[in-house]
Amino acid sequence: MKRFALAGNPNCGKTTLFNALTGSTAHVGNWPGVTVDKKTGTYKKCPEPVEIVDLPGIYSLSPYTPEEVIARNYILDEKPDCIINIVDATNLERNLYLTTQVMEIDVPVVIALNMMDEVEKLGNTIDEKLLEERLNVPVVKTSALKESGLDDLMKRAYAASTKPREGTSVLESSALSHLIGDVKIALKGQGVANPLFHAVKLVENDSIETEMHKETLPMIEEFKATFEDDVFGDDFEALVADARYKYISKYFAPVMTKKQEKFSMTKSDKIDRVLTHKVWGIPIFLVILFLVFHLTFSEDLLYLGAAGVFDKPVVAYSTVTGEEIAEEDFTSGAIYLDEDGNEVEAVFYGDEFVELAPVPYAYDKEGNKITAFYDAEGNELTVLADDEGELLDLYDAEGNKYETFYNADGYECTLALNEEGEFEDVEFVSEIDAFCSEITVNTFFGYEESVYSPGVILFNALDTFTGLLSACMSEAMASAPAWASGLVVDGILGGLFSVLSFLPQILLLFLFFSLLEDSGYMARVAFILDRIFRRFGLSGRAFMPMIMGFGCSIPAMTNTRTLADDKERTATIRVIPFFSCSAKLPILTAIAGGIVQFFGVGNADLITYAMYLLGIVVAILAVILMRSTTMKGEVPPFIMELPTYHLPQFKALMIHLFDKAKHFIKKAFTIILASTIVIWFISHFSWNWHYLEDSEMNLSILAGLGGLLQPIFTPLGFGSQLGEYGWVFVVAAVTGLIAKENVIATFGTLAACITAGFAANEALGGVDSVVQMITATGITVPALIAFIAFNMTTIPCFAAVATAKAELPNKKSFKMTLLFWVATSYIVASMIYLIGSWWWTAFIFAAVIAVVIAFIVLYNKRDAKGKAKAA
Amino acid sequence: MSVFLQVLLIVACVAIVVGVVISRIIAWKKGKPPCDCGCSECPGCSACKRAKEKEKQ
Repeated sequence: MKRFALAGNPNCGKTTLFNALTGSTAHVGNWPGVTVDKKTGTYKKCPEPVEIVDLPGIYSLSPYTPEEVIARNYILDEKPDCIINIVDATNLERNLYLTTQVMEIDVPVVIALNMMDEVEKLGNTIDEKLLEERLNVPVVKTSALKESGLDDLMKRAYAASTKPREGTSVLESSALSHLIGDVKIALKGQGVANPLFHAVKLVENDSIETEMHKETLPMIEEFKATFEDDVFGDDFEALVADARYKYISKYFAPVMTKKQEKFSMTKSDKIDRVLTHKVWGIPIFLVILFLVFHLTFSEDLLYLGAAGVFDKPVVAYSTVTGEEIAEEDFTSGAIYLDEDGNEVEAVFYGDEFVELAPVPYAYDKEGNKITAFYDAEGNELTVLADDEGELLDLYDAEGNKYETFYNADGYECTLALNEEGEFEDVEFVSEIDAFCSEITVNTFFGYEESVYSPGVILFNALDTFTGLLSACMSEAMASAPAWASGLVVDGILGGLFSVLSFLPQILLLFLFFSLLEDSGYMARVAFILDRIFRRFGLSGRAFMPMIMGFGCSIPAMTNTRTLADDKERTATIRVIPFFSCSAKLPILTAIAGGIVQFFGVGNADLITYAMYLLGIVVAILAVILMRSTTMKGEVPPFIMELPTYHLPQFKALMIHLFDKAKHFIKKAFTIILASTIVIWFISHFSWNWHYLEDSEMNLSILAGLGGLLQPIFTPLGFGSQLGEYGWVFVVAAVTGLIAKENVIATFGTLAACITAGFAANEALGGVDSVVQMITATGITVPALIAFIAFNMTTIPCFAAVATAKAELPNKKSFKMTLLFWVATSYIVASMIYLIGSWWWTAFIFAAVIAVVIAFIVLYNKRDAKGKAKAA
Repeated sequence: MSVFLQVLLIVACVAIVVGVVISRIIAWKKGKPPCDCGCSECPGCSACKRAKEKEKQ
């Protein structure tokens, strides 16, 4: 099988071409440095299958960055049959700099003049025949985005690969030609492969080459001593670069005819004047980020609910006089009439009026309200059960026996009695009926109290569907033993559905992030943030892996390979988990939703947004601390080519989203499913392996283990102070180490078993399970926020930990990283809980922080003095 | 629910847990990072690919 390598400058469309040729779905981003490792795929339209290797984007074959080393090593060591050099035709001269180096290698080369559609759009033309003639290698016009010219490119590449090619250099017509020629002859005599390439690199003083050819160096130095240059002196690297650019300007640049030579601002430049403004750049970024979260998580999209647009006055009438009664005159438990003449009861929470709830009545088959029950003899009954609590045979006033009862909506029900056996309420016979009766248009769109965001509408749709599935399963297992229905409905479905229902919001958030990334905006954000990051010891380049961390920490940690400085790389890897990944999203959303639903505090989208920002702030503070103490180092200059803005590719976006959804579902049905099963079992068995009912869950193995760890989390607000079910929070945090989705899956599995306010055997959604846990434990808002912060900043999932181990320079650094994550999460969560619960503790923390800062400043001064003395 | 179905339920649960754990261990030993975050955005996907090729060979 032949192997063709794709080489080119960053962001010239290599991965788009790779995807188009191989049908792969590799991530394409409109920013330089997306690909940090080579990727392989197969092209099948040539006479024989061809392996295509997508190399990271590089500006030269000199070993300045890790990507350049990867690409260079591959081309020289793996010897591909052909190199397809992708040239961004909109930046021809700069891209040809790499071409001049690639052509020095003894390998067939084909040039793909990519982005020709953009060139034509600008009204420019390129004479590819002339370029081909001057380069002496095939040149093909392509547009990877529009998939044009690709077959021709591959045909010519395949034809080129069948003939050997000897390297040629544009330097052969420069003043350096004799020097390079002498070194080349010397290397050729030693049997070195690619002698021209190595000769040029040796003349350039390339660090890898000088290490490889130590024995030849004295001879080369002799050759160099005979050479003189008035401008560059003995800086041979600059000499070579200058010679290349001169040749490109003279011979290659004229192949392009520009429509207008007069300078004018492009659309991208005009947009950049606003978006990368030195003052407004960051506020604009924060606003865009807020809009993304608002569209994904807000339950009050247009703030109409908050503005009181949907507020209606509560109207009730006296049952005796029929007079209207004002809300402030309601009394708890009193019966009134609503506007339709139905009896309603005023429900209070403490001293606060909550709602007017319909007074429950049972109805007969004909839909008549049953106001009194009779026995067979026609005596009116108030106690409807016998001594054993069994319901008596009940009759109407005419002596007709009631066979079935119904509620006001016509659903079949049974009578629910209080401890005295008196009628209290009606209960659904069917779980499905109970579920369906609560579904209205308002469930999805929320038009009665506000307007939901698209993310919330999609979430509600999936949540309703999963709820219906669990109701069906619950009904199907009605005759099964309690443990079996508990395991399937509470354990498996409860855990799975509480996580799965967040899939639409995760995908929507990703869609927005992908739009920002593909349009080219994220590259600008890196540029804007460079100014801030630089002050804290990081370059803007470190921002890209961090942004990837919003998706998943693992590729983000791998992407830090683009950072040349080891200390900067270690610091970046350590803070990447603070950028909340998609697995942490259910934790944020469910708890934020729970806080809003139970306490009526804030908005879910604002809380989620604030927590994302908290992660970023903690990351910045952690970097400052690291870079000013143990990880001091120079910040390398950040040079990045800003890509032009373009509309994102629909196909690429969809492929990306589909891939994300596929992996999320796969994860749910493997690791999360297995975790929920284990959690349910160890929460329903005691240490001596006896099955426990839901009410006895506090005696379980899981409760025992959680209880042991509970005191550790007391300063964080979710430890011993939470009482009998507090261990659930501890267990959830620990199971999150396997996969962060497990935190909410654990709530989903266990919350339904804690029957304090919810019906048993009912799989709860993510938000409902959090509300259930709040009800059962009495946890406070600061403690819930601390719980989110702890999960966001603590040790990430096992897979991310393993990646960190592989990417960090040594074992000591890895151990320190684990310690750093534990310490950061503990400090951040305890600060939030303590300050949120007792505001005056903020002064204590401020004093401690001041002491730490003073200590660092003093330490740094002493360190600087010591170094100065040593110098 | 018959006893047979109850036994089947327990066996299925055990099979799922054991299956997931074993498949993770195998994947790990083959060098595949069990990240589940989507290959399309993963710069480490070539490592998985090499592992798959080894498996095929």
